Amino acid sequence: MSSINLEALIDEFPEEAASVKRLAAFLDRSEKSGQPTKELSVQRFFDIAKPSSQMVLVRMLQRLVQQGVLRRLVRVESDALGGIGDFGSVADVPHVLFDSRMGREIEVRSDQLKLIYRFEPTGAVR
Amino acid sequence: MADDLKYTKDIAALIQEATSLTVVSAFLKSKGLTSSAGTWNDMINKRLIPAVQDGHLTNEGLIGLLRSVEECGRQHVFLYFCSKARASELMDRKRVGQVAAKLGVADLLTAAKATSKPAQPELVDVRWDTAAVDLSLTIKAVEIREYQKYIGTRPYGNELHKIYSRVQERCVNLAKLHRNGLLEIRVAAHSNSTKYDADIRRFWHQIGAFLPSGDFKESSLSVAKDRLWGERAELSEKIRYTDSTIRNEAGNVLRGAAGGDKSDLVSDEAVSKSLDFLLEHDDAAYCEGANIWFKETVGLSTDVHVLLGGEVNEFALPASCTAEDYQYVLDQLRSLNRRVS
Repeated sequence: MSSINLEALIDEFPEEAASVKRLAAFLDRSEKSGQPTKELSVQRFFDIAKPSSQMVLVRMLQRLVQQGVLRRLVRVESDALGGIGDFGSVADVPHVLFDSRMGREIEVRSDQLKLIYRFEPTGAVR
Repeated sequence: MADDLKYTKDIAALIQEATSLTVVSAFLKSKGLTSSAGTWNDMINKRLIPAVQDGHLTNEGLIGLLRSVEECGRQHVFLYFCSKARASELMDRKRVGQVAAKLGVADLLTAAKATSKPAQPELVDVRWDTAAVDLSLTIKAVEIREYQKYIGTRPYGNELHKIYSRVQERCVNLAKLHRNGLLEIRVAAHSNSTKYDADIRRFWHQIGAFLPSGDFKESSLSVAKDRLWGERAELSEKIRYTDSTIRNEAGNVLRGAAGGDKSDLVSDEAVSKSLDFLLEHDDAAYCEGANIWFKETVGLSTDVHVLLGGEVNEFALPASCTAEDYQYVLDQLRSLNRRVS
């Protein structure tokens, strides 16, 4: 896992400097807390970073994915709660999937897909 | 002189599509008019049309009824905000008139359109709610959606084919900008999906000349979600909880759900406290969603079901409701969304 290039991110999103700093502080705290891997939705990141819009937040998160700080995945969630498969993109999600939470095959619906950003604390904010 | 009767018939047909005979009867009764009708045919031809012909009712009055029955409930609502100054600029009558003229919909400023099933999504109403000043600007659009309804299976050799019928439904979407900067975007609920991002994008595109999306920021409802659960004891007089979902930043999730949809999760101390335990022992735990009912006993016309979840600024009312009930829910959620120390 790479570290955050904070300056590059602020250069790219100058109007979002405060949000970028909140995001970096959050990831730094997570890094130092020794807690296990974090998995957050865009909505949770929105409440943490408080950006000017969700659209700009998605662009910032995408940049952190490119920097190797976050990993983006599409999770299929079981109707019985919990993930049943992680995929790199929506296109990779199969039409039919075995739902290990319910013990049977299911036809995957679009409302079962959830975009997740995973943070594995190993790097450092610089 | 009596109003345009074709327009009356068009409005009446939309009212028929959107509500029940009971609601229209109550409306006529409130005006002191004969209100009984056993069928829609009687209601339209023996009550509404004669009332307009006699001048006891106007098309404007019927449009008011149509607005009240098709604009509240069965919707997913997305909240945004902009500065009060920008809201004032965007609501300015001269500016709105210029935009409407440019889009060729200036006639909507004087009368709403009674459009049933447009081939393309169509703006049908642009209006202000006014007291001493303009309090809000509403822009309404109608579109036809097609969804697939499962109807059964059919054997085909060694295969079994699932069959879906294509069902078309008329949908009303609207944006309401308040002079304090609050913007509600209300999107008609889908029959078989919980995803609204494409609808929101499409609607922003449709109203963008009036209300540019870049001027608005999503208004997160996270504080309201946390307070709804955290203050459930104080809120129990007005709210019943059928489920609540707590998630932490490790991605783990705990959901408490009442056994029946008439039950109240809060009355089960053990289940409630298990959710509290996660909130109290994990700083990174938060309320992700809730399924609640505002109780009729607080003065609503009936219990009003509200779903909180999905996007950060989203809530939903799965059933139709009155404008007063809708306003109560919106006011309550906005009040709960203020952080208290």
